[in-house]
Amino acid sequence: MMGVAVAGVVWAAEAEGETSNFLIPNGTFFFILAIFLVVFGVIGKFVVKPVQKVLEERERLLAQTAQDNRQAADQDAAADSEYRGELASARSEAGKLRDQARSDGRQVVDEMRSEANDEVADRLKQASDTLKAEGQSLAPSLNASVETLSQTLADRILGAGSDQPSRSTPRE
Amino acid sequence: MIQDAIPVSAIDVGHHTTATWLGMTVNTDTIYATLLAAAVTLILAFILRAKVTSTGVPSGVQLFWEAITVQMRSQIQSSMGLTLAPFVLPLAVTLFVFILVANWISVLPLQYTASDGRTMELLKPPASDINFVLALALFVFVCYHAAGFRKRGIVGYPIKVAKGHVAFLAPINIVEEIAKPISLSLRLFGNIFAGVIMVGLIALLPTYIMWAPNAIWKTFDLFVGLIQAFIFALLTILYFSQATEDADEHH
Repeated sequence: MMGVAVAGVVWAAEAEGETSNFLIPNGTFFFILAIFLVVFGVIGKFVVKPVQKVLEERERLLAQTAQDNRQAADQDAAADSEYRGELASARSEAGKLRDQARSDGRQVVDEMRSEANDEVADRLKQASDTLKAEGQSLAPSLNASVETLSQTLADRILGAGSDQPSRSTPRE
Repeated sequence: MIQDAIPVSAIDVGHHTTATWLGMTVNTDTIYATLLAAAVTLILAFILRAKVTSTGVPSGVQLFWEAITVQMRSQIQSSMGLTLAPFVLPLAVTLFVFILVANWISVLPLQYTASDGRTMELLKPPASDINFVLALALFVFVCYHAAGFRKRGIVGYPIKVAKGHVAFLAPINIVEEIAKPISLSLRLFGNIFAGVIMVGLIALLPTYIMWAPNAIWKTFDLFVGLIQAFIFALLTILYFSQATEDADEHH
């Protein structure tokens, strides 16, 4: 069988009228090499170079976009923190104002209250003074009239006693 | 005996149609198939050239080239860095696409009947011809050694190649260096040539069943063609990185 196979191959080769071995290179080598070099040159010049340029350009755009994004995020964060700071200071200022207003109000209330107290004390003092003065001014005249009044009273008692002796006698 | 001999001769191993060009015997079928592969590759290249864009929507052709370029560039970057040999990237991209197209044109079921009555494939994959694989592998061999000489000098580079990492392994290193172009070329040749033989064997089947294994095999052959093209380009990059690597890198 093996011998037959080999004979078959040899027959196929001999049919061409030559005893060439297909594993031995021939002139085809140089033509293939030339074709390959042309393809190599064209691809190196017209494909790889522009594709590399495109890839670089795209990477540059990507980096640019990423940087823009980062910058925008930074700006956003800065604006946000600024806003928060402003808000906090405004809040504390508002609180301060509120406290101020509250203390001012309290002061006004205190002032009014003390004023009112003073006035009340003044009025009381004035009223008591007036009363005292009136009392003092009335006292002498009343004292002066005590005698006549007591005289009159006694007279009345006595006069009535003569009218009703049974009742006045025991007192005498 | 005769019944044994007929199918064996029908397989027709390694037959080429030949002519004499410039005083040399050339395999015209290989050259025509290679020219077709080159034409397809160049048309793709010129379509890209006409429509390449960096800001607009890239065309399908541009995405094809970009994907291959990015893939090869990442391979080169991971093994040697892009700056060492700037022409490795175009070389790897060219090898991959050219070999891929050359392998894939054989999937077309184009056959003709020769004058002696034998059925021949119109487009045999060029890589099933030893000339094709040798041309590519020897070109790569010369290029990466040239890069090595450029990096290390006319004396330093051969010493580095022979010495490798350990001096007493010098004989093995030299054998390995000789084996590189042989293995690089014969790997591709063997895979694609085996595909041709498989198609020849399947063709011996009766016609009513032949289509099934043929379809399965051609599909698998597409995969083999892709893998072999990728391996050829990848090994080219690795050989370049070995030729230009820094001496102290692995100590």
